Amino acid sequence: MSLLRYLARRAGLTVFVLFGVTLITFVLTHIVPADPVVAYLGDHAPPALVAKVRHQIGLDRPLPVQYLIYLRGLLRGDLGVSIADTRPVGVDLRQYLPATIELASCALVIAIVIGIPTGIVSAVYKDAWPDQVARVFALGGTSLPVFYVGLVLLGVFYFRLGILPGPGELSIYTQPPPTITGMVALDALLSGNWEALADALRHLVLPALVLGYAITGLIMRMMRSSLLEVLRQDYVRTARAKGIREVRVILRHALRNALLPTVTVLGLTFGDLLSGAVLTETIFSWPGIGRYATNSAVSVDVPAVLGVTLVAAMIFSLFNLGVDVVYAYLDPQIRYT
Amino acid sequence: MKKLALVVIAIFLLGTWGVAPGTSAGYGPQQTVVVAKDISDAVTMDPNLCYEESGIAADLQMYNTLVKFPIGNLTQVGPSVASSWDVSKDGRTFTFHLRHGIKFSSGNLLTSDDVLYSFQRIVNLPKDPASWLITQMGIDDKTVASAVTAPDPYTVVITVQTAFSPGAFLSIMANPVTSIVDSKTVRAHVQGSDLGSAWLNDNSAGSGPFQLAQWQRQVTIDLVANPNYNLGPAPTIKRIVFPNIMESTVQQQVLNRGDGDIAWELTSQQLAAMKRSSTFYVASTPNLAMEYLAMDVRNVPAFSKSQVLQAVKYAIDYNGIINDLIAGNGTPLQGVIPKGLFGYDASLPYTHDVAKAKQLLAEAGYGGGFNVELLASTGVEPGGVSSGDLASKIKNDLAAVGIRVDVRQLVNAEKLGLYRAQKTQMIIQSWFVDYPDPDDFAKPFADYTQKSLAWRVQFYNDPLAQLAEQAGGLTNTPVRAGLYKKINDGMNQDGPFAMLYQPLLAFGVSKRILNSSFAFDPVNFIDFTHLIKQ
Repeated sequence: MSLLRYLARRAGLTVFVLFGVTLITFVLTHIVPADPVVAYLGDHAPPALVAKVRHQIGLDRPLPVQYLIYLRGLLRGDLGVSIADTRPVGVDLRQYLPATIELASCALVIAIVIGIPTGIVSAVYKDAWPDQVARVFALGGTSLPVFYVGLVLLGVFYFRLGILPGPGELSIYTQPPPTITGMVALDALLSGNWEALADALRHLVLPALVLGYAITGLIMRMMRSSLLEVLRQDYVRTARAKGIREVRVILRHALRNALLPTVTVLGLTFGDLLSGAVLTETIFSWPGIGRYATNSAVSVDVPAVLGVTLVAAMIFSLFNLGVDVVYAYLDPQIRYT
Repeated sequence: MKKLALVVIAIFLLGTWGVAPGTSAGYGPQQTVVVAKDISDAVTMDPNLCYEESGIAADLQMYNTLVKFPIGNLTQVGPSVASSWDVSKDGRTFTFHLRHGIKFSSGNLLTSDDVLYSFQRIVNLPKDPASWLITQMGIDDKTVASAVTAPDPYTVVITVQTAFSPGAFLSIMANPVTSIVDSKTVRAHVQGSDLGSAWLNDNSAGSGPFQLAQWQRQVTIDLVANPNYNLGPAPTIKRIVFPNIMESTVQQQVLNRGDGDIAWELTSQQLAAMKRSSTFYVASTPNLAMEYLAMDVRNVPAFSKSQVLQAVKYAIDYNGIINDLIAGNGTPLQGVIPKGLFGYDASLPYTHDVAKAKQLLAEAGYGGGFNVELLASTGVEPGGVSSGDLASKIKNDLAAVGIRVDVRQLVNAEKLGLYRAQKTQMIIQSWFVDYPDPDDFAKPFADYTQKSLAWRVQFYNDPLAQLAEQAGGLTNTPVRAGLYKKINDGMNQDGPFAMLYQPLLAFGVSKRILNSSFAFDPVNFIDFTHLIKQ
């Protein structure tokens, strides 16, 4: 019951956070001296057309009025219309978000599958060669620029060896599956289009690896340092003194406690992946929200920037909440009040 | 149980690995041309609304206009939907005689009703970035009904409402914004006040050789042959795909792997590599565009003196910019009309001459130089050089003659905002063709009353403005050529624009595409109707 009450309270707080996010983003996008109408119409449009479009969009109204109109729409679930592509922002987000969620989820799975075991090995064999190798590997993930890793992997596996497909979600000659979730691989699975599924999975491998590798290092290092910390604790010494096998000491006694900080990082990292996949999306021609966010910011597309920020804030809040709930599972000492 | 599930998943994944992508879209690689291009600029496929390169590249294949420029010849329009036309003596009324029997992809016949409806759409579609091409001639939502009329199903009469160049008018009639849509089909799909625009993003209603199979934003534009096309011979290519490939390195890889046939946005280094290759060739032509440096003649007192403007033009190392910075991806240009258009002036009066520049500055009373702020964008300029690098080069060149430049890089929207508000001192910018007539270049650069480029840098030169106005009202005759010569000379002498170069439009093409069949120009882009793939 206390958990339910806690969740309700957090949900209430999230509403305030989201309201604050819209207000701050709205003010920031209007402080920027760039003109969204000029960005949309370009260099050639005569001044009269600029004035006409500014009026059509409502940008000639006082700022508080514009914000109130935006909030009124938001309460009805209307995120406004993108200035740059003239479509409702909600429609844009429904198109671009699933592609990024698909990519980011695969990247996160790769990062967990590689990062956590490597972190454990690294901590257990501290300063020995497995640790050294893992640390160099992690260093690469955190320090090599994503676009460099992306281009190298694409160059090797697609261009040189030809064992993985090039950019995009599907090959040109593959019939795309009907849109159900917007995630191509999942849609192919749901519609039983095995050819498209195979093609989509093959297309996912490289971008997910590139994006996953960028955070593997972070997760591995976090896992390593927190496990080392835990392994120095008294209860671990006690467990060892009781004659419990080392593997069991690490996996049963130490790991569960060492996972707490890593879970926190995972939660926040997923939010980063959603908004920070822009370079991977550019190189692999992935039609995700990262590029949409960047394009919107560059063209001062205020409704689109607000929409993306709002969704990113919601995802961050959701994941933070998820992380807090997972805490209770991992550490029974944590109680929600 | 868990182990069993894992084994099942592993077998499934391995099993699907070997499945090769088929040709489920109907046409195989032999009949398909894949154009690797960054299509993220495309925001609509509605031809009466479209003003972005990728959208236009697709719309040109799906729709026809009253007249069109023959590919490779941008000096005189030729027939298309209209087989002929008459111009009234005052040059304001144009009577177009439409061909009989042209079919839309729906099978409907193209008549004057479709032309009227298309013009209605251009001026009534909300937020139309291209509508100004038509409204500048006084044809707007209020006047369109009387300005564009149809005495019979195969005649259209258009009366320009303001004084406007007949040559420029005809070249606008060749612009894809005036594409003729199938009015019956589009009317059947109108939602609210959108005039069928939403439907035209997923479908096409044109009489061009191709029709829209699918447009997935940020993913692909997919065109297939229009079985009802009868305005010319049916193309041998049956499918054109523009996959969205944003990185030029990746575009090159896609071509190298044989997954693509044409790359649209290769860098000059990549193009040079392709020229050496045995499996590719490079097709290039000067684009109808120019990169220029503009100087505000009021915000910077020094620029009010012609000698200072000339000194800047002498101080710039044009060859260094073209040969080193853009690695040959542009050609020299110093007039206001680019190569390829009527009125182009090939003379290059300014060469890199530091001594001459210093002498001119001294004569103007600025021997000790002066300070000036140069605005550049954070992006890339046509020709493939980053705006910041080009600004650094200009800064160095001007420093050599004593002009101290402070470079400020801004996002394009902010830079343009300042430029349009007359708030710059010096700015690096490019200008692209809207309609291939010298009027589209001479007026913005020389005629401040247009409130375009000359006005933005407060260059209020009445004689040049009048010349541009006068030349605009003529057809391509020796008299018109003489006027443009005067404008080019006057702008070189007193104009606040230093032309840096004319960028190239260059494609990397697989040799599977027969070189002799690959025709293109900066207005029609690629002519897919005659393309032969081996």
